[in-house]
Amino acid sequence: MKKIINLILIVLLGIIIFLGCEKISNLEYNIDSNSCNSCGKCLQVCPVDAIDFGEDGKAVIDQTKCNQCGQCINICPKDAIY
Amino acid sequence: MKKIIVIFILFVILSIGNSEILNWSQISYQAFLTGSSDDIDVVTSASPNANNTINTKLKSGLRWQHEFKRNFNNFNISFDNNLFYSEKSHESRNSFLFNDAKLKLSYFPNTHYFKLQYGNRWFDEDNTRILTIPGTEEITKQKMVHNTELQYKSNGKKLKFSFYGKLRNLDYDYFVFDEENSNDEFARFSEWENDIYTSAKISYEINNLFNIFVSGYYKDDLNESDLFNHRKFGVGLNYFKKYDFFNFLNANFYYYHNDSQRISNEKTHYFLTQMRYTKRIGTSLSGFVSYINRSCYDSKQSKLLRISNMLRIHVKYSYRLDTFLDSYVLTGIKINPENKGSLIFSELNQYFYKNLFGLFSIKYADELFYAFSTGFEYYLSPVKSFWIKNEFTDFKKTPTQNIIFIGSTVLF
Repeated sequence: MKKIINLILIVLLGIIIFLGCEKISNLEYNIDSNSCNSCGKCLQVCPVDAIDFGEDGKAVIDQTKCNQCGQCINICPKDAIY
Repeated sequence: MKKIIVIFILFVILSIGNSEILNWSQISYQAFLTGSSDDIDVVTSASPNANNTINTKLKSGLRWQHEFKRNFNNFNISFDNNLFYSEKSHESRNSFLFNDAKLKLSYFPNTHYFKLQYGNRWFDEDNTRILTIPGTEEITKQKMVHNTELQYKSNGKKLKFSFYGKLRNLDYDYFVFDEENSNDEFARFSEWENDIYTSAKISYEINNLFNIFVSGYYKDDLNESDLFNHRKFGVGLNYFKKYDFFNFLNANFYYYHNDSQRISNEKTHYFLTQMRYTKRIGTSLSGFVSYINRSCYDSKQSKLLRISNMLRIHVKYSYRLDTFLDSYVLTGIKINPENKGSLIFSELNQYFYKNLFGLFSIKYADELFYAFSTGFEYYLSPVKSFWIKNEFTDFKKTPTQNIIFIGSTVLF
């Protein structure tokens, strides 16, 4: 339990440090492959064909095509997009 | 029709034999309702006369998913198919009739792994929306996607190597306004978009806890333009501590150099940090804490910039009320301030009586949506069930949607 609390504290500290940094000028969406269940719903809503399955069978966003519309983050049943 | 016959023949061929076979099949009917009181245009053709105005009434759909796996000694063959059809509705989706099929062959002798995969995604023309491709601003309609993939991994004692290559061919039509035609018509042309994705990674195990790695990624838009090309090259450090079978800590730091016309110069020097701690207490309580940070160094401004942070905490409590299957309560939080993706969620899967389970879940994302679902699942056996589920989502910026699913899942 102590380890978990320490880890949460480290992570929160990390977030505070990074929140102190300036934010980038445009958004970027990515997919947490540990949470993705490969359902493909994000592929079906992406209006610019920027999402497909990658080498581990999980969805991947092609950053050269993504227009940051955010439709995929709404639809993901596993909330894997961030 | 031809496609369905080919899929059926493939399915029969793969099913013959005495080796270990696994089939998973799920069929469901869905009824889609929306909170919107306005009709919408689902634009499936560039011709101004061909747009369908969709009313707000109940719309029906069907989905069939099948997964087939067959294992030999060091050989695995699998075939997945996902067929979806729905009446055109207010639902946010590009196509209302498509089929997604994948055939995968893998071979894994000793410390090696080979994979060859072909995927085909087909979209019905009359039920697929018109899309605009950014960068080129072309008005397009997807017809078919072919994905051919090759993967190799070598897991030596200290040294590991992996390679991945994918050829993606998109068959699409694009539309150009026909100025010579007095009827405001669009001329239609067929085109292929070909992309090749390759990546390779070499990692070296320093000791039981640490390994270092170098990796490269190259994406080439094989069509004339270099606009969508992308190169990445980087180095990283991975830490993995396994306390026992269920409890472990994995952390890694990765720096890479980004090079693409479509990616802003701010992101040339890119940093990715990931941590995940998984813990299980007794047989009932389990959970994990996961944190991902993406940031970059802008050399022009000499500043470290944050791209996104995501913290996720999950806790699951499982309990058995009968000798059948586990019931559980799961709750968690995701914090993602940069993309406004922060949310809390909770899920309950509760055994009621005689193989009947109740499902309830709620999800609240302050800036994106609020959703809840309820349902019942009745198990004829641990591998055969019928279910009914209702999913309601309030998308805040777009009309609410309510989908009722009735389906069956079978494993054989």
